[in-house]
Amino acid sequence: MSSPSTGRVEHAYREQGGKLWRALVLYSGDRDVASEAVAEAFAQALDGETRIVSVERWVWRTAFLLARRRLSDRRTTDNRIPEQPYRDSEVSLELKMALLRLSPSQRAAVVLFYFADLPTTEVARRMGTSRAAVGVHLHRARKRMRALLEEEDGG
Amino acid sequence: MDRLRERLHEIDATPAPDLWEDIVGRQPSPPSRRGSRYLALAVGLMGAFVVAASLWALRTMLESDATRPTPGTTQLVRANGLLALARGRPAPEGEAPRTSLVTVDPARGDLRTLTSMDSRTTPTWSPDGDKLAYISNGDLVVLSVGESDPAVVAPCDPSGCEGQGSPAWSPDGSSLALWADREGREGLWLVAADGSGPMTLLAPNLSFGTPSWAPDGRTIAISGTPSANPDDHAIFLVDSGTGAILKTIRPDDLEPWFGVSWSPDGRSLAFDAVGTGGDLSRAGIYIVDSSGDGLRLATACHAFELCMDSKPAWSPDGEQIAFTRTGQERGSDGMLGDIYFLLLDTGEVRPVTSGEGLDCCASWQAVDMGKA
Repeated sequence: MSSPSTGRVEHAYREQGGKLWRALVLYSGDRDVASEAVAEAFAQALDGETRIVSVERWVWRTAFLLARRRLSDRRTTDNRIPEQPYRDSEVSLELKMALLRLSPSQRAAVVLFYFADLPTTEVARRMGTSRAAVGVHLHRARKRMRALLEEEDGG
Repeated sequence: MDRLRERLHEIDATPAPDLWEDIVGRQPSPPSRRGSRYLALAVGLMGAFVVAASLWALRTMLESDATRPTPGTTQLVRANGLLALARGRPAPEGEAPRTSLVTVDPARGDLRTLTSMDSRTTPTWSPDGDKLAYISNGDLVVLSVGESDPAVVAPCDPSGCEGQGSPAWSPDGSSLALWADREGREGLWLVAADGSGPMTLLAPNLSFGTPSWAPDGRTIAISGTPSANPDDHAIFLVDSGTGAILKTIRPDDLEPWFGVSWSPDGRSLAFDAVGTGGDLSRAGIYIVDSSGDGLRLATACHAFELCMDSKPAWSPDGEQIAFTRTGQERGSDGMLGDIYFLLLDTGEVRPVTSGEGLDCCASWQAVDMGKA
């Protein structure tokens, strides 16, 4: 049940939680990382709700930062990417591997632009960077993914 | 790339877990985690209070100082010059945020809005302090002092130009270096500052940082990644004559980010970076000897999760570094950020600009004291 103080955050979760979770699965390749980042970001939003202007924007940005930090921690501690980064039903195998071979910033830009369907200005806000930098990330990611997907297609 | 969009949306068929009970169950926060955040916040606020009190005391002291310049003089300003920066401010509902090129007198606080420019790019003073080069609508333009309309030096025609980054003047003022992806070739490009010649690709396959010329004009530093290996973050020192990479600086456990700035004596480089793997807890401004040795942290902000210091610019007298401190988003333009000074002798950090919106990417005007 919602209290008055949780209403705005809960509304944002009901509206955006599923889409954010899927975006983070694409970004991290790991459902557990996505679930933890979503839960912690919304929990932090509840914690500081009165200081946040746009819950949706804040939560997306925080969740991506948390996921990136989690991936960074994992790289430090066990130096592995998940053996089965995505499950079979999610996206095709070649797309999974192409995504995982992008840099974190390129991957975030691709997910936010092509999956979350955000304009580059909004992608920049959520990544905490400039529109120009997002343009560069997308440009380079497109080049890289085109090459990777063509490799997979044998082209 | 509509096919890519379509393929990514295949995941829409995957049901997301309902995490709301988990989210609410995390309230109230575990003391060990949020307690430390509040402790950090409290320490930060106390620190801010101490800094504010110190600044107030310093200002009071300066105002009583008989050697203080009289109003109307520019003595202190000319010692270090004006700052040029990009100022983004919230726009009315339904309109895009606007970014203006502004100059700020750091000693007096006077601010002058000149014209529009692209957000988060760095306007750069010419060595003689009479011109500003910057990116506007993707084009490289130069605005001369006393004029209101910039001259286009290198247009970015969408048919052959994917993007251009912040420019850097050569020490003799004859050339500008910038990252660009033009004519199907990405890297560090050079162009005559008056636009009289074609752009030439100096160092191919280098990434998109903001370049900085060494004071002797022989070397250009640019941070980022090689096109072929986006995971290899480094600072590249490029021969400004041949384009050869003279040295690659890979600071331990850090990923250099966008900004790099030579010290006026050419001995050191200030640069922004995050930790390896994008570790934001190590984000900050670092200094390293131009030999690649002597890495040290200059400043960082950890009071808030999303706070980050970036875009360093060494002052002409070598005593300060201007940088951009971005914080949590506020208002309709999404980001809040201001220009700060780091005083290198004491380590003190002073705010220079304030307000709702994003002030970013400062550069210093070097002043010829012999000028009128």
